[in-house]
This record gives sequence, C-alpha cells and structure tokens, in this order.
Amino acid sequence: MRIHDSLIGIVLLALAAFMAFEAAGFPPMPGQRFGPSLVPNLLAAGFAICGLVLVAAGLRNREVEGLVELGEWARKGGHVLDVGLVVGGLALLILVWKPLGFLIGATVYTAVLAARFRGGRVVSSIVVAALACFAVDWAFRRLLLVPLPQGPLTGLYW
Amino acid sequence: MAAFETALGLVFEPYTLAMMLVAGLFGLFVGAMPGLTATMATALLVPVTFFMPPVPAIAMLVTATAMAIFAGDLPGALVRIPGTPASAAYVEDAHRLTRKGQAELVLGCGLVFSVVGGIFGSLVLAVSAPILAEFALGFSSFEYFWLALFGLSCAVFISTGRPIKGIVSVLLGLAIATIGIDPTAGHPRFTFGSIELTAGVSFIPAMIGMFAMAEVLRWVTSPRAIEDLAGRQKLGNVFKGQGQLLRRYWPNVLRSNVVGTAIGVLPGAGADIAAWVTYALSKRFSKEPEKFGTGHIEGVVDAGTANNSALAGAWVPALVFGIPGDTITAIVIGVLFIKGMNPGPTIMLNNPEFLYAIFIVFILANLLMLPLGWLAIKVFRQILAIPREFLMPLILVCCVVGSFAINNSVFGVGIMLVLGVVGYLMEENGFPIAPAILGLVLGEMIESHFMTSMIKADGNLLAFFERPVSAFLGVVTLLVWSWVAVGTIRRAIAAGPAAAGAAAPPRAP
Repeated sequence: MRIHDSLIGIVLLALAAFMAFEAAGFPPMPGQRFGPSLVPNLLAAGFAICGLVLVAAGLRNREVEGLVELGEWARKGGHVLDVGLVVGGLALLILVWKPLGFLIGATVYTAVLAARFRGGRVVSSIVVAALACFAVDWAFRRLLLVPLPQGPLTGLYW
Repeated sequence: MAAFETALGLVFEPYTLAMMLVAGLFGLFVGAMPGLTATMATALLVPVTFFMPPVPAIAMLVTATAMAIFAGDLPGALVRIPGTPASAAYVEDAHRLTRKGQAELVLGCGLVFSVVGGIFGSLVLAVSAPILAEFALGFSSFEYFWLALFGLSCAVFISTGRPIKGIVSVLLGLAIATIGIDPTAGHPRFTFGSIELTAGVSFIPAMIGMFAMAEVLRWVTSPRAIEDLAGRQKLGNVFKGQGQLLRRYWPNVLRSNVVGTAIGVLPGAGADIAAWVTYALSKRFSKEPEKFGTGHIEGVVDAGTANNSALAGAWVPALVFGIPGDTITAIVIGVLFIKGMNPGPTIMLNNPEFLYAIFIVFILANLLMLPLGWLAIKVFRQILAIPREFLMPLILVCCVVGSFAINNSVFGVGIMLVLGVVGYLMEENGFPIAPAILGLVLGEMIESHFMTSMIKADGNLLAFFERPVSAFLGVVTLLVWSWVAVGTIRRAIAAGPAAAGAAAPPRAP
C-alpha cells in the first residue's frame, strides 16, 4: 500500500505538534533549564522538518495519483480479505485471549488463515492447525513455563 | 587463562552443544525458506532463550543466524528467490550457474565461503573486542552520546533509498523509545494513563512485529507462487572444485572478508549491505566484469564470503559499546540485558569467560555449518515442499506467543500487532526498518547519556567537544550529517520532480 508523500508529511507534522503539545506539560528538572521535555521537543522538531520536506516532495511529484494507492495485490481478488483476516484476526485473538484461552483461539486463527490461503480445504486445515497449536502450547506452557491462558479448557489437559 | 578454560567448559557442555545443533537446524530451515529472514529467525528464537542460561542462549542465536545466512543461498541458486536478503546480490549469477548444470559448484561455494567468511569475522571479533573494550573504559557520557548518535547516523546514511526516509525511520524509533518513565527525572511521558506503557515499549515484541509479522504481511500481499526453474538437478559432491576456487580467488576472498567485517562493525549495516558492496567491488576489480550477472562464480565467492563475515563483525560494537552493528545484534543486545549481561566495555572485566564463550561459539558454529549445510543442500527439496500456506499462520502464532512471553502480558501482543502493521507500511513506502529498530534500541541510552552530559556541562553544548575522543566522534558525526544533507539538497536540485521516486530499501538480513 503506497501512501502519498504529502499525506505522510502531514501525518508527521501532526505527530510533531502532538509531541510538542504533550511535552509542554512535562515539569523541568529542579535547578536546570531543561528536563524530560528536551528530547521529545528535539524529536518533534525533527519530525516537523521531515514532514515539511515530504509535503514539498509530494507536491512536486505528480506521478502518484490519489493519496493512497493499494498496489497490484489489492486488485487480485481476495488479497484485501487476506490482510483483513491476518490483522483483524490477530486483534480478535487479543480480545478473546483470556476468556477463550490460547489453544482454542490460536487453533481457530491458524485454521481460518490456512483454509483461506489453501483455497478452502477446511478439514485438513483444522487438523493441522489443531496439532500444530497444541505442540506450540505444550512447548511454551510446559517446557518453557510461559503462562499461556487455557480458557475453558483449564484443568482439562496438562 | 582460567576464564578461557571456564568458557570452554561452558560451551562444550552437552546442553549447549545440543541447543546449538537445534538452533542450527532451525536457522537452516528459516534461511532456506524464501521469505523468512535471519533476523526473523533470531526474533522467533528469543522467547525460547528466556529460560536458558546465558551461554546456551547466545550460542543458539549465533548458530541460527550463521546457518540462516548461508541457507539463504539455496533457494537463490535453485529457484531464483533469495532465501534471505543477504543472498539477493548474487542470486542471478547463482541461478544461472545452476541452469548451466553447475549447481554443485555454486552450492558448495556458498557453503565453503560462508564458513571462511564466518571464521574470519569471528577472529576479528575475538582480537578486536578486548582491545576496543579496554580503550572504551575511559569513555564518559559525552563519548557514548556521540558514539550512539554516530551509529544512528550510519544507519541512515548507509540505508539505500532517500536519506529523508531513513531519518524519519530513526526519529520514529527514538520517539517510541521516549514512551514511559524518562531516564533522568523519572517523569512518565506519552503513557496516556496506561500502567503497561509506563514501563515503555519493550523492543522484543516491537522487533518480532516489525520483522516477523511485517514479513508475513508481505507474503500475504505477494503473488506467493514459487516457480521451480532449476528442475531436478542431481547434487553430488558439493565440495568438489572448491579448493581450486579458493586458489584462484584468494585475493577476492581476503578483500571481501575485510570489507564484509568492516561493514558489519558499522552500526546499522549488516550482511545484506556487505553482500551488495562486495559484489559491486568484485565486479569493479574483476578481470572479467562482463561475465557478472550471466552466471559467473566470482561475485558469488565475494558476496557469499562477505555476508557471513559481516555477521560476526556486527557483534564488535554490540559487545563493546552496547551499540548494535545490525538488526540481528539489536535483538541480541535485548537478550543480553535480559540475561543481566549488560554489554559495554566492562563486560571484559566482569564476565571475561562469557566473552570468550561467545568467541568459541562463533568458531564452533561456523565449523558446524560444514556438516549441517551439506545436509541442508541434500534435503532442500523437502524443505521447499513444506506448504507456506500452513507455515505463515504458524509463524504468526509463534510471534504471538513470543510477544506474550516477554512480560507474560497480552499487551506485548498488541505492540507486536501495531508495529507489525507500521513496519509493513514503512517498507512498502520506502522507509527502511533497520534505523527505526536502532533508534528504539539506542533511544534510552542516547537520551540518558545526552541528559547526563547536559547536566555535567550545565547546558553548554561546547562541552560535548572538549574531550579529545568526544570531539573526534562529534566532528565525524557532524560530517556524516552534512554529507547526507548536502547530497539530499544537491539531488533535489538536480532531479527536480523525479526526485520523489524512491528506490526500495534493503530488508533486514
């Protein structure tokens, strides 16, 4: 996804303004003329300069049409949905992390993605996803002692 | 000498050796799989190393990356897709040689010269790190500030594409590093009332996101199909003819070793840039430059040597100054801190056995590459047959677990997701990722040294140039900046509207 330089420049200018605004509220260090706001302010100045340069470069370059260009892949049927599934699915996995547990959540996520990438072969995708996620869950929870949540399966398996 | 013996004992423990073997196989797999990088291998290994003693943990990272950089040559030669960006420079030559029926020669060359480069880089590391560390003991906050700033400047300057995008990338990394409690006054910044953000953005989830997740997104949005152009070639003795290559091209090998290691030492530039530079040098000084790109082994020898020597070179600034030489050592520094092995000049005083252990591991990993690499060449077709439609979702799951494991908090997964998308968008738009990671890793160090120096100097900026080493580093850094600035302005004036078209930056090695 290509974004127009001017748009990136505007985003950077907004970021600079935000950082400077926030930094204005940081208290100075006692007995010094500067404090925690010094570095954020320097960075904000840097962002502002880069933002201006990019806006100017974007205005000069008229080859890119539109503010956002999705590129070849977006025109190929379904790739937008794939990206949505990867990113949206992950956001969903974070939301259901505790209630559903890692094993169930990750298995569903992996199975949906694999079935989607493999052109709808659902059963084999579910089987492989379940086995693989079980192996990951076992390795990290039992061998490496990472407290992955088990959700409704708590106590049902080791 | 006692420290060296302790180090030998630490490395030659069955547990450490077994972990090196596992990591070696893992690295070969990741490197040989097109679309997965050596940096990604490191990022995915980090959660596994959390629960290990320091030496096996570091041994795993060293072994996996060395193997991955070599294994990147395999798909390059056989299916014309570089396994890692570090093999991209010579993929055309390697593939054309395979087409001419010389697959054995080119794969063997990749293996043997990876080992040669790796061992040379390791020796440079072993010799230079203790000397530099002793020198660096006299450094104060002024020198460290300039050194870290010089590192960031190199990262911007060396990354291809437009410097302005490299600068934005560095600033972004530094800005993310300011989130949380500030290092001098202890005031919370940009936390939006979140307790999790008070501790700052941990860079392990950030790196897993920017390197591993962004890589998966790139695969999702790519055509995905692999075209097996090489056909089924019989692979016999890959070591045949390598001695002859070494005799013929020894000056090239020597030059590429030196240049590769030096590029590795420079902060921000790693194996991929080392390969591109030495390939270009090889062509420049070759007696047969017209043959390059048509299936000529010379460039493969040069760049194949350099990318592995750069790997070890990158550890020099990482261990001695705590400043990463490439994206891989950026992750390694994170691991060192987790293990309580704070990198810096005192590492030689406090943990000499640990430093020796790293040197031994490097040599051992490169020797281990001979049998394991040979095995990888033999089973490469089977590796390629593993469906990436399954692999990619599983990598995402591993990313999730890895980001969770750093603090046992789902907040890390959120960081990974957000920075994964950011990293993908950055690369798509020509913003290199390595400077952002360097900014993130070095952010706190730069700020605390800067603030300490400012307090010492009572706000007088000239004090940054009063000590001789500090003045030297400061002037060099400012020269790099002026060079970039003048170059940008001159190009903008010369190119006019066309200047906005950016070349794609190199990806993480």
